[in-house]
Amino acid sequence: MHLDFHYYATYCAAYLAGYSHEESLDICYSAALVDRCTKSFLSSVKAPLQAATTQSQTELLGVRTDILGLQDITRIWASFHFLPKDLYAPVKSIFKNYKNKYRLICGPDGDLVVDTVKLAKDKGLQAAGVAMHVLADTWAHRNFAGTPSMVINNTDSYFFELMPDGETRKIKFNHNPGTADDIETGLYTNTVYSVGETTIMNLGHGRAGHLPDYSFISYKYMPAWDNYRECLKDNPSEYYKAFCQMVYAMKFLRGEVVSFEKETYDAESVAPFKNRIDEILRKRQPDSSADWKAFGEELSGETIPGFDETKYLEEYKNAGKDDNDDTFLGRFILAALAQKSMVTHSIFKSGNMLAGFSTEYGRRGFKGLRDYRKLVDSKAGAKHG
Amino acid sequence: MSGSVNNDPDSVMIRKNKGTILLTGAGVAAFGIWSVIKVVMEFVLSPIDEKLATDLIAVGPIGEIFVAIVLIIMIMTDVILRIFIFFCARKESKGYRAKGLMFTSFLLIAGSLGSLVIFLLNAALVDGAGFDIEDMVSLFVEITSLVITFEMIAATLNNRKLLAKKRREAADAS
Repeated sequence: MHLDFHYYATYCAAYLAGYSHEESLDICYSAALVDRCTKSFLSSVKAPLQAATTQSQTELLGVRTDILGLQDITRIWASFHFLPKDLYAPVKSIFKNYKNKYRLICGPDGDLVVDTVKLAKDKGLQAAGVAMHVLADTWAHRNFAGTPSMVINNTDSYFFELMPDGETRKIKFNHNPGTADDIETGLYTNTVYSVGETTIMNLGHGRAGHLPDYSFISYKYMPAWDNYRECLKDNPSEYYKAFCQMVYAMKFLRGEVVSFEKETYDAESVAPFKNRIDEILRKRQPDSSADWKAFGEELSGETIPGFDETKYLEEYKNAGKDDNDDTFLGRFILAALAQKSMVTHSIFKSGNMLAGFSTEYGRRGFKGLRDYRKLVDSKAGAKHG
Repeated sequence: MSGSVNNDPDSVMIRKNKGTILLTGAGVAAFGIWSVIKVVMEFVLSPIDEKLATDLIAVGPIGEIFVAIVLIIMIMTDVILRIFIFFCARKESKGYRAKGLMFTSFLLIAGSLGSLVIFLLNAALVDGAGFDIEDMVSLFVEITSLVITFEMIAATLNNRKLLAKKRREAADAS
């Protein structure tokens, strides 16, 4: 998903869940920041690099794709953008490597999304924002995996858009990332076909271009893992479910709802606005920010500022080393580390090494990357503070 | 094409077949390069063998030119056949029936088998011919080329059968 949903739509969902305008802004800002928090961004303020929640195109161009590099990539993308649906999914294959990759396929309503939301409970608004980003992406990015893999993420030219008038139209792709997608003619960009199994071209939904991130589009295609079976992606209805699930999740985080369950959506609270939201989702445009912003401002009666990724950098830089965890960015970093740690550990516990080794520092004492020491210290502080 | 997904076993198989036909068709064409390489290896890169050298001297310069022309014609025929097969395979992969695909494929197979038989007989029966590493590689590549061609034929026949079945079902339904 793009900024329109992660920032403005998340604001709307937070407000409908009962958060105030200011709280909703903090949540939606954190949700949007997940798509900006690269290692370059963090190093500019000397923040822990392990808290990176994404990788920029420039970073991806220079990234290693040996075992350690692939594990690093998988830790980031599987934790924040392609949360695996079922780490124990039955797979018809004798190859362990293929099984591991198959089990990283993203999808909504998995056990990990429940863990993600529960992890954010009582951890502040930044944690809520991170969780909402992850939750929303499980809907948009379903059927792709957050690890470079041709046998999972590859597609071919078999893409057909289901038009609003009931007709189908062949989608054409070009590989020039500089050209804008042409919605009118059905000409979109995607990554170039690359023979290597673990090349960056085969990471996530690159082979489907931006199609998963456009709320208006419904299309059919054949993902490599599905053995020539057609897959229907109805973005308008899936984005609507994502929105309703976010409202439900945030009510849980606020304490208004006792538990967070899979396959449960707060359609009731959203029902009065269904037509309006549907109109926004189905409007054929690459960026719905203006419409979501207008809707959010109508709901709250307040102005929603534009997203500025540098907003909280000075606060973090100016706080001392001992105090920067209490800044906005500091809390976001802790939330990101916790999410990454949880997902990586879950993947490791399932016998899957694609995200590398993991250890339960709570039980076995701290071992591992220095950046994660923050999580141990913050938990210890919470226990004794 | 409808707005819902079409994942009945026959439709899935048709899509799989189309992919196979296109890929193996491209493979058949690519092996045309191998034909050229074989000749270059035999006559240009390798030292010319004594018997052949003697035979060429016997026929004289005009004879040598004639042999060269025949050789070139044979290679070009092979390459053109393979390219034709690729275009036919591409047409079949789009759901159309390509006339001439089966005939040319079997012609190609006949030619390959013929050359394989001659090659094996030569190695087995001619004194001093033997079977070196180069011959092993050639044999392996030749067999691979045949396997690809057979796979393309099998996928094409299966696809035609399934498409005919679909048309009958559609006709019965209407």
